[in-house]
Amino acid sequence: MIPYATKPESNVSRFLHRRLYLVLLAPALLILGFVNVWPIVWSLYLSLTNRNLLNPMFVNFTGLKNYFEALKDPLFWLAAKQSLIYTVSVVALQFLIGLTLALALNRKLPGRGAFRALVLIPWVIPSAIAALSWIWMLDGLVGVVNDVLHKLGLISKFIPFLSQPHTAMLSVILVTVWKGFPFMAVMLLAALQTVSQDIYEAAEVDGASSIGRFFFITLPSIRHTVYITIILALVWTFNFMDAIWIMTKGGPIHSTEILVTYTYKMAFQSFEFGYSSALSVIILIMLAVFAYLYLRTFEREELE
Amino acid sequence: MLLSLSRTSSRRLGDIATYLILITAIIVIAFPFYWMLRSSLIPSNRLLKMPIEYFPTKISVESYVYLITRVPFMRWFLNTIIVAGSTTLITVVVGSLAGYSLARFKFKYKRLLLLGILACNMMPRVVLAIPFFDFLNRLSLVNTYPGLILAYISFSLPFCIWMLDGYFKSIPEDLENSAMIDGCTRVQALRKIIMPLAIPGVLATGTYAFILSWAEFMVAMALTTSEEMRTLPVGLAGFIGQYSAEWGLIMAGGVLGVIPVLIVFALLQKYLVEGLTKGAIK
Repeated sequence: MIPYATKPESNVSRFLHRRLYLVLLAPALLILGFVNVWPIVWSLYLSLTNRNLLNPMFVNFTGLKNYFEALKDPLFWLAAKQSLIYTVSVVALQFLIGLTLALALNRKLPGRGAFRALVLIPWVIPSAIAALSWIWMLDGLVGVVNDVLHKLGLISKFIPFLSQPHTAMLSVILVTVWKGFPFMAVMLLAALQTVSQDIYEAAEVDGASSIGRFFFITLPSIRHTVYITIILALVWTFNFMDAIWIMTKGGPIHSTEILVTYTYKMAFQSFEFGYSSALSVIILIMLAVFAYLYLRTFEREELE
Repeated sequence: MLLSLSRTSSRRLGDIATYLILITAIIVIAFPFYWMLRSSLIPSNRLLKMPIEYFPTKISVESYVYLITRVPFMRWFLNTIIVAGSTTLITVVVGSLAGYSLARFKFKYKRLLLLGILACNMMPRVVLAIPFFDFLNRLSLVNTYPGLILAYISFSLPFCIWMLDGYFKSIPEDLENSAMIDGCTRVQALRKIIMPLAIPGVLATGTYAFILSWAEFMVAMALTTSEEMRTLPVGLAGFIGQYSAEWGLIMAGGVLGVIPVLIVFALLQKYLVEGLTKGAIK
């Protein structure tokens, strides 16, 4: 305990000071309890019922029926598979592009500061506006992407990107990568800048090639940041609904349906609040696994 | 045969490659914005005609006029300012207090609490939207400002706490400790010493919290049922109908919807980058 000069205080004041940590936390705890914890508990309850908003009076407790339904639901499994494809593809691309950009920005070249600021712009743009802009650019009849590809001789006919199953998934992946790679780039750049030059110089003196230096010095030095940023990106992308919803709504024919869009449809189009709550709980369990991995990293790093 | 490059020429090659990468990046990043602007300024009857005009020959602000006068766009703008502004204010204040507490004090269950906050940060919007709709519905708070703000707080507050905790941790404890040895209570030390130092972090957090709330789409869509209560992203997305889309309007709306965020970002981006990286790199 830090000794400090005591001034005459009231008992209440002293009580509050002793428990200052709690006083400061109290508003946050109360609010979080109400807007985060309570909804989850409510969701758990709903998942055990067959509550449908179209028939709000006929609510029955159905136990784990919703969960069994989900496991038998082919759309659920399709959405799960596509969630995986979407999430992993997006993050892999974001990482590769982000790393390339970070390495480029790490070099001491004039104008670097301006580039670094500009690069973040897709990340701060509302995702809805970005998605809308890209729908227009990817339009199958008058879209500029088609026009450019055609003028470059890469395609002979315009492609209706968002109306065909395979190109639809590629398109939503593209837009999500566009939106998110700046975050990767900035994080990785910050990590690269903490690596001291001495190690590089020593390695160069010892005859290491630039590729060797990259794989054996650069990557290992930033691995902590890489791990964190990738986990964050995986979770964020897994939860990210805006692009897909605005661009394809999970179509055409469920080809871009992911878990969160499917859950949303069940709740707000079919009004199956019971079933969609069960889906929510399943999603939370999946995310809990991710969270566990995340904390494991921190623990490991703390020990080192 | 190995082509051995001298150090300077390999460096120059690296510089060229670097500039190529950066220029490509800028084009990829900036082009959608240029296209949005250009599409908003082309007369709407020219918009859907081929060949595509890369540089508009005739500029018309008819989309903007229509947007502001015939569509509740300004109302959407106002809604978004109110909801995003209120949410940011509340979550930054509450989050600062909580973040400071988590950064400085050790107490029982602290690890559990940090875990909980992390969990809140990883929550998908839809998972919260469903129960939120259910009980907001029972309280008749769907499609109202308080309802929306409450829902927005659910994702904004955990984020603010997380960021501010990281930020306060980066301010050395010795500053408060020496002040307290000199006779201040912790609260006074907080006010006189920590608060001025915390301003960059608070600004960074507030900036991103605002940007986050401004952009929010799914929760706003789920919890608004009338056209006038929509937020900007939801309103704009609504222009895409089943068979056609008013692209001139959408692009004009996009331009106007992006300007506030860009302004906030331009003013505060220095703090934002600093705050982001401090939190993750340690």
